[in-house]
Amino acid sequence: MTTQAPRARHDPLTRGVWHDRNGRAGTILTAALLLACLTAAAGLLPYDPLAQDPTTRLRAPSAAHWFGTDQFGRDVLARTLTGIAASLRVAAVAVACAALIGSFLGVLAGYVRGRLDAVVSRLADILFAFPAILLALAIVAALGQGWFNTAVAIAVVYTPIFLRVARGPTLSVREAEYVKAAKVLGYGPARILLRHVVPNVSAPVVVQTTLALSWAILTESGLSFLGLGTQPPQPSLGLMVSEARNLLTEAWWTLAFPAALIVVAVVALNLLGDGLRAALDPREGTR
Amino acid sequence: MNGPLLEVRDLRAAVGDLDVVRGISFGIAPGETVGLVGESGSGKTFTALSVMGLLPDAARVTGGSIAYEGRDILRLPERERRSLRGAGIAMIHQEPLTALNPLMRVGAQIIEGLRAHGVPRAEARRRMLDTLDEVGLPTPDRTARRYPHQLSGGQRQRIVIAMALAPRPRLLIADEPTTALDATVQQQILAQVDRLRRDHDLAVLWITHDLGVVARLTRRVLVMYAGRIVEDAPVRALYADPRHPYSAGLIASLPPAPAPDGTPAERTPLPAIGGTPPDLAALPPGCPFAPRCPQRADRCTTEEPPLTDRTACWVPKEKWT
Repeated sequence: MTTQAPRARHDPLTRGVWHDRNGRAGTILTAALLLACLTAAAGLLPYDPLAQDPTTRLRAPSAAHWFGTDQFGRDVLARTLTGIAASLRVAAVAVACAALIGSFLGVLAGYVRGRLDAVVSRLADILFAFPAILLALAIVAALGQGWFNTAVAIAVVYTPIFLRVARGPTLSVREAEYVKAAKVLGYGPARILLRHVVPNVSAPVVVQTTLALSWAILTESGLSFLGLGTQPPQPSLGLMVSEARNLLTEAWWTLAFPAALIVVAVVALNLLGDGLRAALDPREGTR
Repeated sequence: MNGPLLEVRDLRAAVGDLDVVRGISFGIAPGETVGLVGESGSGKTFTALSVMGLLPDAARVTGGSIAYEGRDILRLPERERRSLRGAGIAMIHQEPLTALNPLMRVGAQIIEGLRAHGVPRAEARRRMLDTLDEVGLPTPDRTARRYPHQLSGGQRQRIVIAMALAPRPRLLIADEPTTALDATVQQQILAQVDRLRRDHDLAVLWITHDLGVVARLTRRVLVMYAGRIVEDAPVRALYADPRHPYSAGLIASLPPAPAPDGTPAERTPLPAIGGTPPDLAALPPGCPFAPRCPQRADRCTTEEPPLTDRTACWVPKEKWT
């Protein structure tokens, strides 16, 4: 019981994720994706994702162009990697906003209860009532296009999810004996919330963050596919899939690679989320 | 100062429309130990929570006063009330296994309690280690680095006690602090708290339904029944000569002690108090104990007896059958 203690101090979270098979696969895949994004963002790709070359239109995958070229002679690999970087940027900004605002409101509503909880929860219900992509479309249409507005739209759609994820455990933690004990010791509400409630509801929020990232990539791709996300000529996975639709019979690679990368990104983040959940779940007994 | 440390007068508390504490009065002198006994639902815990100002959302104090060091704490602003909690009046709950934040090292939790009451960091750390030593935990510096799940139930209860006592309160309310622990650990913890009480001149209100604990640790006992105090007596007097039929029933239902030479007492069925505790929503007129009372007189079913100098009963002991 006590001999485990010194080793457990070496960051039990990362260790737990690594020990989980899904978590390890997710970590490796996510790291690879991030590396690719960084390469693209740093301009280290052999081809410019925007450079058109009429002499190399619709080339099949080869040693020179691993993923082939599209109808304007642009390198599909370069565009795919730049696209995933764009998608991840939007998803990360959107999820960060949603997670911060949503869990802040959720913890507050769950802890304070009363009228605040009623108002906040009903607002969340209203947002939930709209299909996610439709709501995001409407917001982008209202705000105008651009990657930041897309991120705002996705953040609005995902905030109620975080609100609920944070509110649920807060309801049980606020009744926990150690929170009552904190009141008995004369702690103020701010101290109780920050030091005793928030850390104990953070596990599901962390897991939700990775899952929401993967959904946000899908939503961003969907918006771009529908022409309201990233605008051409900037590459984005959804946009590439949309543009390649008509080329499916003559140049399958223009569609297959970006589509496959969407899948890889979503699977990678889901696996990571699974690993985190396993590592954070006290019932797994790894700690 | 002279006078009582805590003076509760005609305290009433209700959950919604239901009166759970129905006008109780008692005082606790500095350094005194008082036992508060009664069945589940008799209002013991509500009395304690009223004193702490931590009644659950649906409940509230509906009347009376609670004076601590002469000040009516029911009228204090919330901020002053909070600083009194922990620093002046501390409370230990029933559940030692869940009373600690699972994500904080136990030492940090004790330090936090001190810091919340304005103790400087270095001083708080020193006092944390001292207190861990005082509550009987060996190697305080190692224990302080443990998380709650790495400690046993008894160790955790000692941490909880350390958290309560580190800010040096003058009154400790112990609400059945050992019910979740096994018998040997219970005895150790009780003895430890009693030693700390003597060392720090701490007044303790023991809330329990264990008359054995009361006999060993307290000087005076308050017996509660259906939200009222029915007997307020020195512990020896209560055991030798209970004046309320309910107290008499409680004491009669204790298992007989083994003979001095160690042979166990003869096995006879324990006498029980017939009937069930009253429904607080539908109290009978008169004495709430009357329906179960073997000494019932006519007056008992019409008029509720007040707590006179020692007991709340219409039938004097001489007339008991």
